[in-house]
Amino acid sequence: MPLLTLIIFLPMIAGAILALTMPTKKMKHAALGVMIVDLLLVLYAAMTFDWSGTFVTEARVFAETIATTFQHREHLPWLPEFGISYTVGADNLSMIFVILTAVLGIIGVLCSWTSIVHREKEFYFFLLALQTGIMGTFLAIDIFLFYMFWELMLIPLYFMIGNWGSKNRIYATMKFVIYTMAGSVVMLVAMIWMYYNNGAYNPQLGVIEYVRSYSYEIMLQTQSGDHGTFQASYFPFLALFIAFAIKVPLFPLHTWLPDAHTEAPTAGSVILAGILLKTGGYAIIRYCIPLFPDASISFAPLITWLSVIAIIYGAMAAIVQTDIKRLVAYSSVSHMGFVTLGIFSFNPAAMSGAILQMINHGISTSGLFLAVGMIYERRHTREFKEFGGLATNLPIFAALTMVMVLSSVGLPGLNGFLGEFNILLGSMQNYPILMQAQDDASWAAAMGMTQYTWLVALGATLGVIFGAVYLLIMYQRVFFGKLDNEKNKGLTDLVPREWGQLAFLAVAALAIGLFPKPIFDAMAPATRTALEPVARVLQMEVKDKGYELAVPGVVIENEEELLALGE
Amino acid sequence: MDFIGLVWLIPAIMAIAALINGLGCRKLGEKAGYISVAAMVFTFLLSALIFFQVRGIANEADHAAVAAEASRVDNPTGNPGLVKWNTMNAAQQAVLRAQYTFAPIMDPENPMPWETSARDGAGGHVHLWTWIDVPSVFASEHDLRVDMAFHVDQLTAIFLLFISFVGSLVFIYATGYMREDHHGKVEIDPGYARFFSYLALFAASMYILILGANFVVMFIGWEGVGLCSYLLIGFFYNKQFNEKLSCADAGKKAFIVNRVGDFGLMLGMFLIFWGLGSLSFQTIIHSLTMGEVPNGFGYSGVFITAATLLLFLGATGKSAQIPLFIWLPDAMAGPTPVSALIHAATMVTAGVYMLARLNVLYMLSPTTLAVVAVIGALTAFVAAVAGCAQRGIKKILAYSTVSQLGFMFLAIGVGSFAIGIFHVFTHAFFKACLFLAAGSVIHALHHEEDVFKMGGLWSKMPKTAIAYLAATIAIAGFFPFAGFFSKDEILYMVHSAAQGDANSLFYTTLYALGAFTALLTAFYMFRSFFLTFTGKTRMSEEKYSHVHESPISMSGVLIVLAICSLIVGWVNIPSGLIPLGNLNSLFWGFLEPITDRGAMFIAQDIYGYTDGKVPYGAVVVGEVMKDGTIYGNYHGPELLLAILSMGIAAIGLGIAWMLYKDGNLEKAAKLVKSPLRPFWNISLSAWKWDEFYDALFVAGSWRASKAVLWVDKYIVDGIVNGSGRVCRAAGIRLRQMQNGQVQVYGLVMFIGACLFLLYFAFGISSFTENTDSYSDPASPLRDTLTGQVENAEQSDQ
Repeated sequence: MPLLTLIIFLPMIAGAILALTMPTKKMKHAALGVMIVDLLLVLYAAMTFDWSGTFVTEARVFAETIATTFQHREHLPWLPEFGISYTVGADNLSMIFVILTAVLGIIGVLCSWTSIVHREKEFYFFLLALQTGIMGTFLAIDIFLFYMFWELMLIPLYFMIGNWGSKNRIYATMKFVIYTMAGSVVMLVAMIWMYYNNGAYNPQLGVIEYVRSYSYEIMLQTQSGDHGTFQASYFPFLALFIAFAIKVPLFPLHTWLPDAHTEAPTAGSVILAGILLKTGGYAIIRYCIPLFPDASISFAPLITWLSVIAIIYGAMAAIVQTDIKRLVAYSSVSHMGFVTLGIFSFNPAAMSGAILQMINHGISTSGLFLAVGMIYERRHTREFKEFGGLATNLPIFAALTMVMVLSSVGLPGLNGFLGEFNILLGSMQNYPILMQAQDDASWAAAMGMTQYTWLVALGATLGVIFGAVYLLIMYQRVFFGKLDNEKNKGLTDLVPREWGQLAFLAVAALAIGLFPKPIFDAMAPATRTALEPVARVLQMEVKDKGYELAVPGVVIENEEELLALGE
Repeated sequence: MDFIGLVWLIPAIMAIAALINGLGCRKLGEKAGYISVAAMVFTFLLSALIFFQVRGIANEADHAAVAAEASRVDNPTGNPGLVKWNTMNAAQQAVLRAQYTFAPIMDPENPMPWETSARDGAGGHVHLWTWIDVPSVFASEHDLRVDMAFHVDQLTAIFLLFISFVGSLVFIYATGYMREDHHGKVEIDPGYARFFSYLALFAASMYILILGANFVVMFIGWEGVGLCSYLLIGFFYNKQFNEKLSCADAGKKAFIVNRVGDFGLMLGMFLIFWGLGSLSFQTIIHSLTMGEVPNGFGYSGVFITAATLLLFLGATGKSAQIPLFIWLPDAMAGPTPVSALIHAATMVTAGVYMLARLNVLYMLSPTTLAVVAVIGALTAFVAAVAGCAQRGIKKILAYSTVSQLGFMFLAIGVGSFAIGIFHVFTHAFFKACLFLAAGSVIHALHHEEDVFKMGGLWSKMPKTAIAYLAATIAIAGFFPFAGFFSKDEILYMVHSAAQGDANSLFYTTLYALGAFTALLTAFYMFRSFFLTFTGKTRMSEEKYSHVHESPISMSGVLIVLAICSLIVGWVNIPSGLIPLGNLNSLFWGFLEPITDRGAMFIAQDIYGYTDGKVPYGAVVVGEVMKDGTIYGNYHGPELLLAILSMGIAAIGLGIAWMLYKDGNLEKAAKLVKSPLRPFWNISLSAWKWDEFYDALFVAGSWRASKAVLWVDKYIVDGIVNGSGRVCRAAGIRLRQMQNGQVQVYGLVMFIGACLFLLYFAFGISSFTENTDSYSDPASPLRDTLTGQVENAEQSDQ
């Protein structure tokens, strides 16, 4: 059974058929049904998935036989003369995000239940098509196919914001699409560059052998940083990174996000914040780091500092917002700054923290957007000055929003803490490798500013303070104080459909916060896969200093073992 | 039965109670209170069982150690704890393990009898599940592994005992406090179940804080109590606290100020993990005492100093010390039982607990200890001054809490961790008693907190008044009340530290500051007592006549706590005061293996001290005697010092008596107009600390945020929109060319052709002239063209 293909295309195709056949009133039920079926398929895929990280099999890609770690892999030649194929497959990294996507897809339908009242068919079709784009982005392992899905994500969202958004929607949707498109174009150029430079040095022949293919699996084995010149990888790395950084979004490429988030309908915001931003982080971990480890190391100081700026800058910009949704949008900038910081700390703690932070952000920020949507649906305004004292007549809402706020603040025991904690802890652990290699002047120079990792950790940890400031200000302005606005007095508390969504996310937040071990176990192979190329490059640099890679799969229990490895 | 293995039940049962009350909010009504009380009393019983089990094990281990000691001949130092672990043989290791019952178990294959399987091979270590688990990729890195694990030792047992005891009493009291009798009609606060849900959640978090076996589990509790504090301060979320702050503001202030502390705490954790590769208390302390640590983590090392200072920043947040104490006075916006339990007896002592838990780390850094001592003494003094002129009864008590916490840190700063904890212990009882008595008054006067509007309540509320008096005597430090023993011991310890040569003047100054603070304490506490309970009333006749004693659920609790304020100090009577043989210093003796490990380590490893007895931490901190040796069992003029400090307290009492005993405010007002005026102003405005922070940090960060938003809108986004506008403008210009007029197209074509010709005529020739060395064979077009030009030139000639 072509499981992944089914997962990817079921939403869009079913959506198209349903939109043509279903009565308008039934469309949302049908859409929900499709999302649920998709989730079931994803769960089936996850259950038949080997999470251990030891999965390796041989596969044929064009004329090449290669080792691959992708499971549920499907391969069809598409345009073989250009090296383009339809190849989808999942590894631990993509599987985690696919599950998140499937879950949030259902929430996306539920939160639109009563808020979307006109042109329902189109809306749910676009929502389903968006799901296809996202699933494809996570599951494609041919970079040309990846590019197709990457662009496919834009179109439904363009219409969703443009049609069902709030006041300033046209400006927002144009800005979003053009901004993202600008990044994608550079990415396409880089991909073509990669196609032409996709090769490895053959020591027997003494030449570089090129493989003309867009297959990521081949690239992984040919292009791992040791082809061409050192600087040659700067261009494709940067081009890809800029495209992904726009999606993340990383300061200073973030300004599309507050507009798009604020103007989008609730479902749009939820999917945008919950999953779409993650495609950026996912793509950095998937493509930038393993394919260009040396360029990644060279640019890490810059990116790290931009991340720290994003963390503090986003938080500070959030503090002075007057619109609830805009505040949450800026909090995304801050939270996603942690993600890029974690990725470019090149440390397993930070890397796993970054992946976890993306999951957490998908839960807590989606929850906050849901909450904002529920308020907006009741009052048709998002201005702080209109609210106050809502805890009096909406206690359930207040309680559930509190959990989401706390998860976002990073309260230990809830999910948000673990991501931030691991990232911050990891970003500091970068230091010993650097310090001990410091006498190697050239290498230290290549690492540049990363020597100031402690300053990075210090700056990023400041974000923890600011995070509490803006979220508590928001919560207080909406829920605390006197209920003195007449318009708010008649508001009714949440209906089961509404609190069900928030309660689900709250339970998920608590469950991840207390029992994250399965997620850590699932992430460990992904972390290792992403970091090993970097580790290899670093190892070349510090070989004579006695640093060795830990043997994959072996956990170093005590010092003796560690010393034995060193020898 | 193995009660230690069941310790996880304690936080679990409170969390369940919180959950039931939280979910069943509206339907439960008064049952919510009973659920929480029942859960809390259950945890008290279990805590008591655990306490006795721990004591039993400790005694057993002591006997074993004594027996082993007697049969041992090969110990060069005569003290099992002071030999490097590596140099010991198996028998010696077993002895060390036995004596320091809950020391890390290095030999899991040979567990001690009390180590059941539930406890993961270490005494009192209850492993629940693996929480964070990230294996390393570099061999040079540490695996990040954090267990959800609890750790029970003497220190934990003490905390469990008094928290659950005081907590139970406060919970019972709260069931009375949160309902109001209006002429026989009972009214329950609408947030009754919510209140008890928060309280139960607080208790669960507090238990996790003290039980956590590593930094991160402790941090769950640490943040959890902060959260509950936030929720409970802002419990009356729609009410105003004072002119400036609403209750919600006060809660937010507490949370954010604490977050500043957490910033330090987190960085400290990261630093420790970076250096020592673990976040587990046992492992950290183990590797430090084994001495196998990276550079900078040894005695006086730069990293250990940085880490301990950062952790101390966290402690100043939670325990309301300079510079982060400003949230506690405003935390009184919460209901009074909350102030008693959270903002006096338990949560605010978390910082002291953490420092005592990490005593080995702190003893390794004399710089940090000096900073802790200075901060402690200064906070004690600053808060005591601020307490002298306050009018709100809870505000006075809040400043007194800050001041007493300062004393605790002073004790820790001179290396007397056990004495710091002892003050935490006694303070919990008498401060809870004070707050609850104040709450009883406030309850009776329908939320009147201003002591200037009270007076003469002794006859109306005798039980409350007696309880308040007992606790006041205790906090002022009069023999034989609890506060005397703890506070006097602290001052004695500071005095001991001053006996060393190195920093004698430093510690003498701290002693003087502490003694003067004791005077102020006696003054402001008795001031509040006289203003509230004695003299003529300053209330209206009608209101005064309606005042009556609180119900039994409240007054009964007060009586129990009043008795405790008298007796709890008796568990640690120093032999220098009253020689009682085995009954001297019970509390300290019990805690010694945990809290004096650092002192012992420093004494042996740094000073090479080999006497069998463990020296005082204060003695170790004070370093050396005048004759150049470290002095083991220093007994200073303890009795003399005790009499001195009682005299000092009596002066404070005397001043308060003269000014306020008859409830006449004019005498005091006259004094205020005298040269004492500046002092009074400082006190009344609490050193203008809040205003200073408001101007600097609050307004500053607000302005900075506004600037960030401006930059975002006009510069970062300005570039984006600008580039859009440039494209648009360029499009508009370029559109002009496509205007459909043939003449224009013709003109453009003509210009283009001219440019083309010009390019070939001059452009190429100048190109070839300048690039002689450039020889790219693959450009036939250029070759042809240049050939033509060359030909033309030749033909000209």
